[in-house]
Amino acid sequence: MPTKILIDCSTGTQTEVELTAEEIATSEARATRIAEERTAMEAAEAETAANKASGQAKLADLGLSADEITALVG
Amino acid sequence: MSHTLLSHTKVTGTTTSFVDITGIDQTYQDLCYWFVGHASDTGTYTNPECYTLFNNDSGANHTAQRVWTHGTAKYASNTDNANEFWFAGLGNKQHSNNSGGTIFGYIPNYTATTNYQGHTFWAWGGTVGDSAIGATGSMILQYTGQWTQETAINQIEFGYPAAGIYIAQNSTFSLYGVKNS
Repeated sequence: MPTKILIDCSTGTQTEVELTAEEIATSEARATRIAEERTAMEAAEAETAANKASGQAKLADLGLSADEITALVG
Repeated sequence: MSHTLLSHTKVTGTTTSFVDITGIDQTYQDLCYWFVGHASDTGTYTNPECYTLFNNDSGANHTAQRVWTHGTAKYASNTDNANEFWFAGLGNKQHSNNSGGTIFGYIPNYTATTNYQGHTFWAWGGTVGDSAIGATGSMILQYTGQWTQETAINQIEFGYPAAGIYIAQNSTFSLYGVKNS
């Protein structure tokens, strides 16, 4: 059974208790939401990188040197 | 500047999902915390995600910008109105020689109640490198967040939310009060 550690700084006490069904559901929903956000962010970053590479390749096809492409787009 | 230890917790069980620190003294200037350890997960080394909450607030009151690097892959993103502050990929045990995560969080002016934009929150994190994976086993992040509430912070929650993934044994979480003295 998942647990949480409760720390009360005002008394210095620490206790470990089992999560309630509601807390478990909240945690699992949080995990799902975070994983979805992270996947979307990484996918967006990968798409940006792919578009950059594609654009650089097209500039090279037009005859620009690698230094010229870097000067233009980094 | 002085740091006073407010709480130190070493996880001894095997099913601890999160730590919940209450009763935080309101007489310091800032707060900071260290998490040193990892998750119990043995799956993909880039998982799992961990999170931080203030005052048990799971509302859409968390904005953030983050940059992180896994090996040579670099990412940047921002989030508006999230339900928590979260960090990705800070340490599991896919390989026996991996992977500790260390997170440092800083919360300036945590007792403020009148700042229109709420509380800022900074964090840095990184993993211990994994020789079994090579360069891609390393991970580092910088995180700047804002909790858009005008409430003094008296509670902090930190954990790994995914089902079946826990804070590993012997991980530690330490909270400090900071004074400019």
